[in-house]
Amino acid sequence: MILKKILLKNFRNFSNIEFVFDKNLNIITGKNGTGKTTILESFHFLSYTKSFKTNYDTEVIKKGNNYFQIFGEFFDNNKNTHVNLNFTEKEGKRTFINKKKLVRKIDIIGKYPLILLSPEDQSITKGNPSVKRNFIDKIISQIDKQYLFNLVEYNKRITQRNYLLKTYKINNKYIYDEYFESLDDLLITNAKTITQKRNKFINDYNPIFKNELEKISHFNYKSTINIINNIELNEENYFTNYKNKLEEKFVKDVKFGRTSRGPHLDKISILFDGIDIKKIASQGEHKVVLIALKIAEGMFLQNHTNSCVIYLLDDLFSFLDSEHCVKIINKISSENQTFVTTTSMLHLNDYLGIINHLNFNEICLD
Amino acid sequence: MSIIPESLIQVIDTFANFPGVGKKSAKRMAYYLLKSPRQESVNLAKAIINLKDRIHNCSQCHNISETDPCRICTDPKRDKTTLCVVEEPMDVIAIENTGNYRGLYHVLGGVLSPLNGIGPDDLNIQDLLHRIVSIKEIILALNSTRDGETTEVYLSKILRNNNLNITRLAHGLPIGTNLEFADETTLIRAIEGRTNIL
Repeated sequence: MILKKILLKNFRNFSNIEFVFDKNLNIITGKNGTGKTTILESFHFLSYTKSFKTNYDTEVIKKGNNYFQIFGEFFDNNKNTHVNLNFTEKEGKRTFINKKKLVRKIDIIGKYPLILLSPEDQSITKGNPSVKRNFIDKIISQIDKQYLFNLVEYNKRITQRNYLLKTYKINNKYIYDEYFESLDDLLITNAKTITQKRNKFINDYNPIFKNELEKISHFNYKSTINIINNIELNEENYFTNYKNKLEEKFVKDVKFGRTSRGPHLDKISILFDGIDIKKIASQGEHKVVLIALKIAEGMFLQNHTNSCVIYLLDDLFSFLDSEHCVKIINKISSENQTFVTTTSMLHLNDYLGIINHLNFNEICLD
Repeated sequence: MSIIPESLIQVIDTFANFPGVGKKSAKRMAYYLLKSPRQESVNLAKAIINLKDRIHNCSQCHNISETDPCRICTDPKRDKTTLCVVEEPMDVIAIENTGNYRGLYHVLGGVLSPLNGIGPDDLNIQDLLHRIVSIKEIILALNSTRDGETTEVYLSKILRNNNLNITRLAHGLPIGTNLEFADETTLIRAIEGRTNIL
């Protein structure tokens, strides 16, 4: 699937503009604040009906207007699909697919899958474990609704449990009673499914990630994604094992008002030769690993959904050496439609190799 | 100062407190009463007072009733060894409408809900424990919500050692619907709870 063209009206700094895209590589250039990321943001609206930068749709309307409009033309399986998204302050957001009004948001989300790399994503490799958990949870949820259901239930039950722990503290009740047992029985059922599926995912995803990282980098490290389950996955004894731990920690949990054991504390790390990259990797190495994670995400989704993803690489070239840039661009754009933003073509001219043998479409906003 | 007279505002505000009624609907209802004959308002007022004066909770099953014990609890044709546990009186009506269940009921008056501060002591659970002496089967007919499920597990735990047959309603597909319109979770439950044909 590819995005053929897009038309923006009153969208951030654009009043009325049309862009036509290449089916492989599109490089968007322009000075700071000319709207490079804005173009990527409009794609995100078409695919997920919302921005990746803000939760407030009114913020993206061009100043002095009261509506915005995004019109996109996708090409898939030899036919064109027109997606039209309108937002007015009065009527809110409405999406039309081939002029037919979309009733449920769920019918479009994931239909045109995008893999977005934005500078903020660097926290996936650099940030705390929760960012990594969110990253993989989001991938699994897209292909496995049962996982999503169990994850939502689990998180809500943890909220309930923590709240109840606090109530028990106020009432000075330190007894692990039937009420807690009931909450925990159900919590553990969700936790088991989450742990099983997470571990299976890491197993399947690891070779793809490793393979992609080898293709785009010149590192000599042996790289892996590692998961340490907070409650070890032991098929037969998982239930009793987890429950004993919750009972054991109960008094402490009441004191602190939070649940100290469970998959919400699973530790996921990325290792170079067995050492966490947080300790040893440079800025550039972090960036290359992040890109490999994103490419692997795209490959994984493609394998499971049979639809081609589109890569949006915002500010791709920062921190990367020329060799990495060439390898990444060659790898991605040969198989998928790719959008790259950069402040200047000077960067690219340095890598004449790319320009000479690769066709691409330059969209200059200056 | 509002141009709407004070006594009208009072009625509008009262109606607007009803579940499912907003400010605009409340206004329409109040205007309707204003325009209708006086007798209609008198009847309405009487009906509401009657409702509050006459309806009580049955001391045995906690269902709403004008008599105590209620008509279901005193019905000699009812099977007194089976007890169906439900959340609210409305659930009793739903099951009664099937005409298929001949046992007794027990209304909990809600479900365990940690975030709303509803614990076991806030529900009619002690009375349930007192009632089970003559009971052989308990059917847990709670809503399949997160809190409903927690309550089911809780009840099954505290009732466990009483030589009772504890069952709960099946989860699955509604009759007469298309498979393709069912949500994933319901379908997964329906597959898990599949039964043999003959």
